[in-house]
Amino acid sequence: MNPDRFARLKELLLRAADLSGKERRVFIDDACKDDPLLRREVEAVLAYEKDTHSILRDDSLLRRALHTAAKPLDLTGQEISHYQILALIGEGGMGQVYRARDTRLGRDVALKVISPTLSADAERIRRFEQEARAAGSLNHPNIVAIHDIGVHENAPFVVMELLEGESLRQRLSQGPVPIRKAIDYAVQAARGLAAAHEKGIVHRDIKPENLFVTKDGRVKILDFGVAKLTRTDIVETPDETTSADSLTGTGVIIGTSGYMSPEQAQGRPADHRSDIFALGATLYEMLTGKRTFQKGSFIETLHAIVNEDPPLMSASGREIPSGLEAIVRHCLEKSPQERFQSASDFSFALESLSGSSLRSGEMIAPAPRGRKIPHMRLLVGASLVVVVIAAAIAGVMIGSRTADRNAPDLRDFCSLTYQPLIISNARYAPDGRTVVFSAARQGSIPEIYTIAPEYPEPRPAGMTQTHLLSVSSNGELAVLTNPEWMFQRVYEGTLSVVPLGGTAPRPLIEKVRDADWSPDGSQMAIIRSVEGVDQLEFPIGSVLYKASGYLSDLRISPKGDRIACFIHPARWDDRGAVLLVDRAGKHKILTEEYAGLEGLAWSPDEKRILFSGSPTGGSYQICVADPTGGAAVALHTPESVVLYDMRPDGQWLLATYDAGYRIDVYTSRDEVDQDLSWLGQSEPACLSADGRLLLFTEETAVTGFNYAVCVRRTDGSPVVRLGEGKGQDLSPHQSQAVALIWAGPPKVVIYPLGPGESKALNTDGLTTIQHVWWSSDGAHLFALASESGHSLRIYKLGLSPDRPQAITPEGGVVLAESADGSVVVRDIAGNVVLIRPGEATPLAVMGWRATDSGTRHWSRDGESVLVWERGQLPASVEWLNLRTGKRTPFRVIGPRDLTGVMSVAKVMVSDDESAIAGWVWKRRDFLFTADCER
Amino acid sequence: MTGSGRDEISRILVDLNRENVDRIALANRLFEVVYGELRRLAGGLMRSERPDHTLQPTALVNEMYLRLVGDSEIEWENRSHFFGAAAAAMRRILVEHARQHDAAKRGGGWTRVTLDDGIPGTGSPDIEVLDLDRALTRLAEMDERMERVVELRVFAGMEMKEIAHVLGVSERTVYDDWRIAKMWLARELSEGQPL
Repeated sequence: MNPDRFARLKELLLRAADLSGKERRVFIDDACKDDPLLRREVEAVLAYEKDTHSILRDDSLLRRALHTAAKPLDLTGQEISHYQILALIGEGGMGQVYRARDTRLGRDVALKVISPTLSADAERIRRFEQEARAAGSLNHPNIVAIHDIGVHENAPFVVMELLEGESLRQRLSQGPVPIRKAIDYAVQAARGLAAAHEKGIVHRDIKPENLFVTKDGRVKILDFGVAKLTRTDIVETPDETTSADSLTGTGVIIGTSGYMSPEQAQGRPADHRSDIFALGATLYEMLTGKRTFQKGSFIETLHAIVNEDPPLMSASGREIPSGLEAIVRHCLEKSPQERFQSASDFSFALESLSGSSLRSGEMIAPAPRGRKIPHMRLLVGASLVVVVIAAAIAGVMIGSRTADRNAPDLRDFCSLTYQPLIISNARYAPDGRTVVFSAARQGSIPEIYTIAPEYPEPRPAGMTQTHLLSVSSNGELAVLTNPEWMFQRVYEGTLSVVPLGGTAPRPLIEKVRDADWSPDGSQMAIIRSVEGVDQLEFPIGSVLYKASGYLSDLRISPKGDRIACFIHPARWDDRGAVLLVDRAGKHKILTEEYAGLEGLAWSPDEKRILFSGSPTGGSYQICVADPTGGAAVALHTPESVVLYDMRPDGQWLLATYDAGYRIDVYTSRDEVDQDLSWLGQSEPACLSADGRLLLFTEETAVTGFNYAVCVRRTDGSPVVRLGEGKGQDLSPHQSQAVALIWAGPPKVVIYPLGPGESKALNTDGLTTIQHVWWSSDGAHLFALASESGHSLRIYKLGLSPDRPQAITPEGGVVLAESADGSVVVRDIAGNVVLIRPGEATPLAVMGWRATDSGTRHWSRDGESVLVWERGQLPASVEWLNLRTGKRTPFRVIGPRDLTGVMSVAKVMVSDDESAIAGWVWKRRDFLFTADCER
Repeated sequence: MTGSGRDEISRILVDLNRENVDRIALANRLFEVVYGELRRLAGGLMRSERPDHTLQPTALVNEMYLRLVGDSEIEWENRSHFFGAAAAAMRRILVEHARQHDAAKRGGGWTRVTLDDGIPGTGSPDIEVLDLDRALTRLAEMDERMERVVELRVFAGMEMKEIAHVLGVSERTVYDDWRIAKMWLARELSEGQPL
């Protein structure tokens, strides 16, 4: 049919379709009276009027077609090397397994082809081959025998012995495995693992899919080395490169999260004990029929693996002997050091369970049975193992009892507040019954409240815009008036005193951050920042300690001769350690570094310093430090808890600390903000020049002690983790990101966004690095840093291994920095000046307010910078012309619903101004007390 | 999917709106990039073992759009080029695979008699896709716009309104084309080639 004729047909069809019955017939008769062929055609098509073909009706057919199109072809019938492919016998995410004929040896084998796209990189294929060969050559009855390994059209393949039976996964689909059988399977798998571990081979992906049960009940471990070949996701160790491919996230997260060990989930290297963990999780599932850690999403599962203990197996309704319960728990310890230290220990513990102990439901002292112990040497070894295991299991209990002796036995929790608040500080009044605290319902500026048993509701004390610091034994409050919010619970303002019940504080000193009364109420110790350096003074005016990061949570000991506080290496990040300083200025750092610290108090007997710390990222736990050194977590809580004060009788004043951090990104195209935070502790670092890429830091327990630097696109694409550290800046061409790692001597690390190696820059001599950013030409970086004995200034860091080079004078507080190395500084005299590299004289800056915070976004002429007012909600972002002081509104940002919102703590703008990101903090805290029985 | 894939698509989409450019070359290149990305995306999603295990062609095209174009400042007109290319790419992926698969199953591909033949909607996906492709090719010879309407509707899952945008015609026209195309294709696919 030609187009003209078809057009005619179409026209007739359209008109006829609107008619019905007789009218239609008449119309067709009339229209086609000279063209019977056309008439036949019209009628033939109209016959299908009600009869839409299924392919047009719904997409189920296309869906099926696409499903097969996306899968690699079935290779049945083809020949790979000298193997004739006979039939597809299994398929998984990783590849396909075929029954194949080895034409040289005339035997049937299993041939597994690993999907080519999962394994593209040659180095990985090489490593995989190496491990698979090593494991395959072990010749152990519980490890599948590997005959051959090769590569076919970029797809690695493995030729294995052909097994008859089913995978443990298939077996589990019929429900839990009988206890004896489950133990037997686990013992066999553990023996196989032990043989592999002895040769230094770790499986890394033990799970029911990889344990094959043959028809005669033999367990064979499959797929040694495959995990390393295929796992290309966020749980990679940070030193492995992230491919550009994963940037957009097709298959960013692959893997069997439910069986992964906590160390793997946190991106740390796996060792043989990770396999023991995974086998423990598998045994748990065999016994209960339930997955040990499976949650709704990958991230939740990871979180559970790292933080949660699985429910007792007996809770599944099945009677599980307590000895068996203990063994499985022992495998599932979060810390590898606390698990069975070898697979043979594990198998032995299991074997000693069988027999009468299973019936009695108790684990008895296992007498090694001669039948299973072939000779004397092993017998001795085995007995030792028994002792070790018994000790290890007992150790768990003894350990926790020891902890009990040190740790508080908290009881009688009593809520003080019932409405969510943003609490900045809390103290007992001298009567021990009244609690004084400062808090805001919204925003970052608190007011003072009191609460007493007679008045269970917080009562405003008549002091708004006031942050509580300390309450003396005489009932005098030390407060900050006109507090300026800095970060978390840190404020700067005018130190003032006011008697409890009074409402008009008497100002003492400006620009103080923290203070504590001496025990008799006659003196105060304070923290303030002078010339950009934090100093601890006790009494006021007598400097005992200086720190280039910041100090917080200062408390004088009950005898009044020592001061404990937190020392944080970088502003503003609350990681740090507990510092003890005596009146002579002698000091000692008491603890290891914590990923976060908030709230500290002395025990009345001075034997302990209690504080809230986050040992590895994640929630803040109550910890105890020994004033002579050392610390431990005393109370594990699922939520963050901050300790505010201790009463002489041992009662504690605590608050939950529920902080949520969002990264809101606004693009110029629409007004709707998008939350680009990831796991709930995301901090934005930088937007790319075109506003499409967001560099940020994730600081949850899952990401570990040194945090994780991540990127995601501002359209909300999946997150790509680049490595560890705190994100700082993207290179001008967006090919690299720079991050800081604070643990130990500070390191500046450059991560490629595409393929490539990360590298550390030369930071020789720098003892503190606060902040790093790229020069506009990408040729070098700038760092706000200091050397030992010096205060902060700007350094130029070369990409060649040159030493850092100071380019500005020391002293002052950097308020804003630019990509040409210019900085706005509040100098020693308190003047705000602009320092340009290469220019000797600083320029006076006009109009910079105390509450202004600078973004890194400058006008092209370098005269204006975008600033926003810290602590204001919503935050209005304005251009400030540094020469004239003139302000021009740019944008107002903040979430629409301000309930519980504390602040917009950071603002960043892309070079092209198409995107703006705000770091929004929310808090919901509740005060409570707990009595401590000792 | 590489960052450069995204950048390239954005660039092509912008360039397509410029004067003095080789539109055909640009459109071809756009198709190539989109085709490549779509293949990778489909493969990637299959491998990620989604629990539902079903890929919807239309959802896939949308997902690709979000990943590759997203909210960047691309004019609607230029976006239409993207969807046009994506629909065509999806069609080609399905057809190519069906051809290959069909051939592989039959050991040569010169006979296509199966039990499913002639039963609308219950045939193997391969055959149905190939039949639809052939019918659409014939339709294009007679009414190119109608063929485009079907392609955008079936392979990219677009709404009438969006299709009207893409083709630069009224919604009514699209609706009419679709109405007739449905009947015509139903007959084609059920009865085989007439005339």
